[in-house]
Amino acid sequence: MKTADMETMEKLARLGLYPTKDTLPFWDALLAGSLVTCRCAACGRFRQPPSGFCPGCRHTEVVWQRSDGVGTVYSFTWARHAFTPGLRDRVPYVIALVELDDAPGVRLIANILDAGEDQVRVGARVVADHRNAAEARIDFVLRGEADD
Amino acid sequence: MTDQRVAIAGVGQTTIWPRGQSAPLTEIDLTCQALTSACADAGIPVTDVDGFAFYRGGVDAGLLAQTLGIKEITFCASLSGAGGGSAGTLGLAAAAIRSGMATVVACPMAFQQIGTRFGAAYARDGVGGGPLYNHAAPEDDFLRPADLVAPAQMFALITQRHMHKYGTTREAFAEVATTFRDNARKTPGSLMTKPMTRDDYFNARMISDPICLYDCCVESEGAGVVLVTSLERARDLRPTPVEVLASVHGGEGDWGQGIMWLNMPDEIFSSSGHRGVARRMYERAGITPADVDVAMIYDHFSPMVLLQLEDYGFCGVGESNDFVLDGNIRMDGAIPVNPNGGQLSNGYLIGFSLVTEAVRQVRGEGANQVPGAEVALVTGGPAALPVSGSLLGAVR
Ligand SMILES: [Zn+2]
Repeated sequence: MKTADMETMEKLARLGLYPTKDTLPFWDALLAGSLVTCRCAACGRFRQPPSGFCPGCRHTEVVWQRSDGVGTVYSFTWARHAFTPGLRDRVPYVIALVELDDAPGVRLIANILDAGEDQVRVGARVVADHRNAAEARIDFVLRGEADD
Repeated sequence: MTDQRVAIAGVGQTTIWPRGQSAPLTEIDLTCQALTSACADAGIPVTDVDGFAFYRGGVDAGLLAQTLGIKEITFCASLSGAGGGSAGTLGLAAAAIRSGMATVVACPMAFQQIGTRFGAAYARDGVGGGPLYNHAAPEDDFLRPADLVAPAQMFALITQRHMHKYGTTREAFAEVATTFRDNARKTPGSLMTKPMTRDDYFNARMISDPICLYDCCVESEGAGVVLVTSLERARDLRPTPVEVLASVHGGEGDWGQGIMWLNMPDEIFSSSGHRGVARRMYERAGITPADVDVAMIYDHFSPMVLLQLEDYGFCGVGESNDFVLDGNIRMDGAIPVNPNGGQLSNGYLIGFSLVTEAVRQVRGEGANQVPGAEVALVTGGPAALPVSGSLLGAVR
């Protein structure tokens, strides 16, 4: 493994993340403030999380495709109960599943920041927000345009 | 050809304690209590048990054998996964009996939550939770950045999608919670016995929208065991053997790790992950949902009862809201569900209290008995694969 990768792994371990060769490019890009998605080099199918085999054709090579981070809320929940002491200062927060426009088949488990109680809904348009990139957080904000 | 049918000859269950209160008893104590009472119930000497079928890892078989003086173990297997397998251990046991690998198979479940809470199963800070978090699984990393730590939050995501897609409402979840509470009140030993009205339900604090406190099962401890043997032997042992009509496990690959994956295709996302298992279960038993008299449905979270009612064919996909609100799951409804109060109000043994109650209902021995029940469905948890489902029937 390259020295740069080792450094990234150590940084991620401090955040409680333990990537492998298959997931490291995702986290590496996230730390640098961008989203990439994992796509089969043979059949073009996207998959999430990134893994060593394409579930469609079993091919092992992937293409990392940069995403512009625009997507739609597939489902969401307002987490209100602090299940662990560390979450007491976090609640309430929005956990959402976000489908990316430019990577059909990828659903990211994310937070939606700056959202009011009644603003988050299934079908809401969102865009990736990288203010917390150094913590490897997957964040989105509402885009403020109507959909569905 | 010899009779290939298998049956449940005995059932045993400990007290169900609130979380942390079964101490100073240990998990092996709880298991042995339930196992010896199941053997007494069946009239089978403990030393005749030669097989064990577990799920979610189960109890240490060697420790069980040395503790109880088991003569020889000839079959020992566990379904992989977690609570999804609670109804499927019966199928493992049946396979062992049919193949001749064992003659009396015990299916035990014992559960304590000392120092750990399943409510925060996927948390990784270790404080107050985290028993299911796997540091060696890179796919679990994707739950972390959004602080998705609890099964309640995961099932909230599935439920919210179902509500969006089909117009399902919290009124239906309230109907599930209040119906089961009523049932628990008629079942001695239930943990939650305070009456619950619709208003009580809607006044409960929100845990993770749309799942409120009363949508969550009660964290508890205890053990249960059922003994599976050939129908022929079971008939000799007791007047009311309960036949295992079918017990299947597994599930469609598209469900995969389910709540830990959350990338299931849309057609299956807002389901319980049980559709494939349900189809095979009915096929193997040669019966239909209309033949089921009582359903023990895995209720870690009340919305998942609705999704299983759909997947097990009691109503169409997307129709469970109205089906439930029409009173169909009540004791006098079309398909009474969880007459013991289920895991929401009676107690949570990772699905096994539903298995033992299914046996009691078919025997006609339920504390809150569905009159004349001859066929019972019992389901394993909507969880990562494998999930499972079983049909039990009275022997005529
Ligand atoms: Zn492919």
